[in-house]
Amino acid sequence: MRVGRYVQKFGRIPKELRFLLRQYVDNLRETLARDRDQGLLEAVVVDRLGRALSPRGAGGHAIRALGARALTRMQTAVQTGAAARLLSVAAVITLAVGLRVLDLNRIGFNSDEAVYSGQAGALIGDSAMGEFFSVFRAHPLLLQVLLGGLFSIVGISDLAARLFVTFFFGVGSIALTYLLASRLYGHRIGIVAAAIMAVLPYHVLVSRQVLLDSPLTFFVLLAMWFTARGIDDRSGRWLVWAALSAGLATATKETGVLLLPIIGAFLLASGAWRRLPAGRLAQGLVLFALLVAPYPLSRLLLAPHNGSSYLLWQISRPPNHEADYFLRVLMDFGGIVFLGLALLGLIRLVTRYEGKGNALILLWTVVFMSFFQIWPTKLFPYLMPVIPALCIGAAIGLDACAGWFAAAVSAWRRLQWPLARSFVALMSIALAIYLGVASLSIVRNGPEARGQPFQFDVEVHDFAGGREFGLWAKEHTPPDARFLTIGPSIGNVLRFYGHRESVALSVSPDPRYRNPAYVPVPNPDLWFRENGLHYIVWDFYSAERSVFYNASLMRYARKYGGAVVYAVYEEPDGTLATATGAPPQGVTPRVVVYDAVGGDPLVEIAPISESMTTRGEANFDLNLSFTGSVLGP
Amino acid sequence: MRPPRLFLWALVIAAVGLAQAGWRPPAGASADGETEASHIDHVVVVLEQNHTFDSYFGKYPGANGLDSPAALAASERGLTSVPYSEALRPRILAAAPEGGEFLSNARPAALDAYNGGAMDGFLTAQQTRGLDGELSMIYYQGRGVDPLWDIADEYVLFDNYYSSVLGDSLPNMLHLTAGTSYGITLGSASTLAQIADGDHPTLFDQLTDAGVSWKFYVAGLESLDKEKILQGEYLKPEAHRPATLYWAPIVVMKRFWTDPKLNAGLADQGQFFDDAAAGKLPSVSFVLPSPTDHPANPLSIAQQRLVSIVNAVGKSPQWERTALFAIWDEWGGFYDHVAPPQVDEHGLGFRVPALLVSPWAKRGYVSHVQYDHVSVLTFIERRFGLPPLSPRYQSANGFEDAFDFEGLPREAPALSLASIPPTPVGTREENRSTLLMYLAALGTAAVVGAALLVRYRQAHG
Repeated sequence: MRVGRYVQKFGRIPKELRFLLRQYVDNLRETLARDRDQGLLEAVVVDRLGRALSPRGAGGHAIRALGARALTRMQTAVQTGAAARLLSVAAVITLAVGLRVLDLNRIGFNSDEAVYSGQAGALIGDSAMGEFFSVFRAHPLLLQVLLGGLFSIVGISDLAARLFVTFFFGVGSIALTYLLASRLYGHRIGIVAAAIMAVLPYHVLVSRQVLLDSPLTFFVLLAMWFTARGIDDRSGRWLVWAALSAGLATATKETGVLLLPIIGAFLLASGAWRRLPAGRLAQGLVLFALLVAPYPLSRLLLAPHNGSSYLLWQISRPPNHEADYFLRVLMDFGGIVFLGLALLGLIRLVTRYEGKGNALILLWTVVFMSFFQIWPTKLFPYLMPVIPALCIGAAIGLDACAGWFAAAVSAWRRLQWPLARSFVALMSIALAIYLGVASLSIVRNGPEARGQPFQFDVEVHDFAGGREFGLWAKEHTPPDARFLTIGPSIGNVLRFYGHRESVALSVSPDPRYRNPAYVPVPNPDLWFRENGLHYIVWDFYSAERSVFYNASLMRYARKYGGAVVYAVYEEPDGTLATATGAPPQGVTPRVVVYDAVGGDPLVEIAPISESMTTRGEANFDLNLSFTGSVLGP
Repeated sequence: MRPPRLFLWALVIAAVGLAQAGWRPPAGASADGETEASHIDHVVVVLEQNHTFDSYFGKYPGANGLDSPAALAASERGLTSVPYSEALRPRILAAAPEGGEFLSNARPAALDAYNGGAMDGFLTAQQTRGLDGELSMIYYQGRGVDPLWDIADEYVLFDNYYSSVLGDSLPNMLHLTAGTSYGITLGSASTLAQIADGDHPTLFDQLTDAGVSWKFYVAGLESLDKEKILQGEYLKPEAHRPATLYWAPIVVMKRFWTDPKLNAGLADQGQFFDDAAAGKLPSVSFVLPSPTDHPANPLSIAQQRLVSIVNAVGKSPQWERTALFAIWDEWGGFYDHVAPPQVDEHGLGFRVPALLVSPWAKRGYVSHVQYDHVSVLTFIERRFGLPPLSPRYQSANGFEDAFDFEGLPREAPALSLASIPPTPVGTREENRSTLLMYLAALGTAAVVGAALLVRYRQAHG
């Protein structure tokens, strides 16, 4: 009856849409009536079910009509082999979901996840999030707006945010990769590309996080898919949709703007621009501008000085990684086989592979990769928007291998292609198992499973304990307590979970080298003596990355009588545990909190010792043991 | 017809506008008079410890402090006040091993210091007990007490507020919470035993009987062993007694553990912050924080705790109808130059610091009206219509001079402890405007996209 009521309320829907809906339902009803008259058993069942659910209402018609439509499609699918294709896609999606949902919330947010979710909370007026997170930071806010909508329904929740991003954008990107690749190169390439992406450790790792790169990739894929659909379309309407998707991508993260030169160059290279109506181009550009406009407009109107601060910082940032950083990322989190196949596939696209979208895939890869390579700041998730292109390339590379294999066994004429097909299937399965096991290992054990995570800034497992620390701080410290940390990252986690303020030693007083979102600490001693700093927080992630500030933090802990009041540590079996006081011997501390109020500021500062200068060794001092409750309620 | 309609519309719009702006008539327009009863629904009393007025506010501008003629005259008699410096800290710690008293604050020492009103026995009161007498002459100023002075700058400081008894915590806290010390002038196991059993009435019994909500937020409440209290274990001479028993005497009274109605009023310190944030503070709250500024706790962290409590109340939804008193229980062995008036055989005791924080408190006002702990008790009793507990109630001044009920309640500034700039964040309005910009763009794009789709489908069937 409910459906019926909605259908009966067509009067509130615009005239055109109402017309289309009626037409659609009428068509379906006719189909059902025909099938039923022909005695098709399923059609009769659906018809009766619809009558039982809604004997007289329009809802019953709609249910019956939709059922008939589904039946017709199923019949067609079985007849044309689409069912098998659908099953293979379902299997890939299931695999993708499994790898992305497993232990999804075992470790709390990392710094960026906390910031984006905190911004979402601030946008919807959450007072705690608004107090700690500025909406005017380095990136546009489309994802944060969507998360805000989610939070306004389910409340602010790390798990809900991760599920949303993982399912909608992470798994959605895999589905879109299939649609794009199968449209350009057929089902075989599509399903192999999607399968590779589903199990690729890099994509698994990044798409499980609430980062901008996952939705950016989704919208990039959407733009590519619309562009690919528009190759043979003279009306230019797909281009409008592609521009709209590019606008969504850019409203998610600035690098989405690279889609404009990619699509533009593709239109030129393919000659499609000649038959493109100018009106469509204008519509597309207007839609793009409309979606992108809130980012600069909100800055200009509401925080006019903020934009220049970020621009200065972005331009002045020194390179944070070597030139071969992304190559090493792909080697460690994709593997040499994947990389080799992807390169092979891209070369084949240039040389001899048939397909109208070759130029699109190549432009996509080259433009994004070139930009990330030239841009001085290199971070782990940046490669996400290129990953689908590389996966399609790898699928094409695998196909090329099959061709070579078929040529090699051409003597066996009858078996030549069955063997080649088996070869592709076996190679695909072997690659999927290899990558899937690697992904599973990362999901269960963290990125350490793939080498030294601090070399890559993989901010996942290193933040283990951050959530526990934040929740402890919220429960056990005064609302105005302020924490001193090594770097600002753990501070963001503290703000999100603990609603407490912090400052970080590594934040530069020089605005050229400082993220404007953070407050520098020009004179920690002064703030300690003014009673402005109350706790000192050592965290594994920051300590691992900054030897100097790690040592500096411990000097202040000693100087101001730091006593360990709380610790989160990892047991040898990988489980997280907490201690009120110093953690036991033989475990890996993740976060150690020192009470910093009992010291004598006249104590001489200890020099930085040799033991504190080894990169990658997270140094801390548990000898500063807890001696009694000082601040905790 | 046109002008009257316009006029009516203008009235309606103005009424809606004023309602939106949260307008309320000026306090002076109220017909039932402007008293705390019509503006204060929540009273919070924060208990600090063991300092005199001169030790914290002796140098506060405009207060009766160490630069007054009487204090300067005392200085000429050899009672030289010493500004606190870090160099003194080792002496304080040496004098207070294992958290013990570094100055004697019990009644005999208080009487020696008082010396019949001459107020010249502070050094010798300590020295004759083998203690470092010069420490009693310490006073703080500048960074050492910035948070306290900041509160005084913003709200009301009382420079004529006395502890109720020449003595230590227990009798003073009893005066605050029961209006009398039942003859007790010294905190000890035997005097605690006097109040452990029986029905000595307290403010909290009265509030419970009257159906007025209350809570006593006691830091470290969970560390008290209920069974030991009920069995009297803590009161045995050789037992280790938590100091909380002296500072919050109701926790030693057995009925506050056995009577569910009374026991429901005991809460831990953490609950205070939760209640304040949720707007669930009861009508009367007492807060014994941890740490207090009891010597030799570091002052900085104690002040941080006090500021946290003040800020928590300031941010509470109940702020507009709240008055917070921060009061120090007793002298702690420190020097004060004003001889306390003696209203009965036990006191008054030496001057102690006291602050009033409220949206209705005068800004930066130093009150010279005489008060003591009984004044706070009487304030609560009068506000909630309770019968007076203390024999001193008739002479207890109200706090009329400290409030200003004219106009609108003021916003609570977030008291900062240091010159750390706040993290740059947008205002709520800026965040909302940003959200609206994005929603408008998305909505427009969705409508345009849908229109294009419809047009296309119409054109192509």
